[in-house]
Amino acid sequence: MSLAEMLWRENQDLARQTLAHPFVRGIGRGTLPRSNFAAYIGQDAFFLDAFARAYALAAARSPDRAGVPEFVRLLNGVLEELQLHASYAARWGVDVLTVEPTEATLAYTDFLLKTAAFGSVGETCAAMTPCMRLYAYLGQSLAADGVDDGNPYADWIHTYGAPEFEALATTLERLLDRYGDEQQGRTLYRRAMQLELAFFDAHGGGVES
Amino acid sequence: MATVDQLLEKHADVWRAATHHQFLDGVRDGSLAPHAFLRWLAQDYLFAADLLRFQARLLARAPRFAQAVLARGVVALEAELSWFERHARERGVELDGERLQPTETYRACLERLDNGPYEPAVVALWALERAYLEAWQSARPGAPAFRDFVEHWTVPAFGEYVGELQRAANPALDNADPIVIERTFVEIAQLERAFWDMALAEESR
Repeated sequence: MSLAEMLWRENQDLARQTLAHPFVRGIGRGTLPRSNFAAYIGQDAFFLDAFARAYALAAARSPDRAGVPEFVRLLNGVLEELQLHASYAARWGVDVLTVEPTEATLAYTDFLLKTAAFGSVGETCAAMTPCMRLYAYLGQSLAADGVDDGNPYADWIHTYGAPEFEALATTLERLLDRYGDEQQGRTLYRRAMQLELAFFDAHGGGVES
Repeated sequence: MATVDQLLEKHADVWRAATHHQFLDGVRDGSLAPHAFLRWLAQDYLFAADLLRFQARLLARAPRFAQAVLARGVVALEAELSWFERHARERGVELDGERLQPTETYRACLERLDNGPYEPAVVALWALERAYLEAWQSARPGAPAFRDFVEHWTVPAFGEYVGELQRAANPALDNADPIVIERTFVEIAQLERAFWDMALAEESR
């Protein structure tokens, strides 16, 4: 089993908790209050900004030439995602450039940027993979449950449930397999999964028990 | 309000030297020896790889408003490296050679900027891309042997990118020591000049 596969399996508890989170369920059913989603989009744009920076650092520090185009392709994926956010932001009335990050957002971006600046490229991959794999999982799971025509969050679900997003997640997982190390990777991966859950938690109330 | 293009006028001589050169004249009129061009191309590839690392790190510490243009530039530079590799393969050029002195001096300058404040670094990035654009515009339309290259480096999208970089670099002037900015600008222009000189100096060896 590859490292990425193993770490994803080890974190199924957090993956399921996140899927069951009222915020995520609210997106799936289309019942999440609009103000919660608007606040989330602003925070997520701030987060993606850090995510793009972390990919850029990984590209700059790639141990070999072969890694560079892959990190750059992933960076480009974030740019496209940010464009989507800009269109959401216009629709939901959020200014993504002036948003003040919350504690949960800052905890996550600080963790990512510290790892990308001071850790190895393998460690950077371990810190970044959970976001990609988790969102692919959430998007695909919610899409599989069926999305109502009137669901205002259908675009979100289809973006992360799409094969194109799955391909980006897989690209990063292969980079984790190539550059990562089991011992260092495990702690960072788990930490990122916890930060993901806390990020949703900051926008949608307590975790369902 | 100060803008970076005021530097072009203030240092017009050094800028002209950076963007007009016998090498580029040779590309335009076809008098440049193809092997001299390919030797230059191999050095430019090494420079582009150094620049990609520099720009990716700059992106990592850029203010948010400048991030999108820097990120698009990183994506374009990666595509550029692949483009170089394809052309080099077709022409049997080795790309993993050593940096000649001007290429190494340029790399060291980028490393120094990378370790210094953001503002001179973003102005340097604008200046070097602007110089590259103007230099290749001076070689238009290019002799048949080099025309594909000249067209590639003068496409309208590249001009638009340089314009966006300029808008990203302008606010840096409000937060930086003008003397440091000018020194950086002049240094980049001189490095550009030395890079063209290298191509012809090598030919005469």
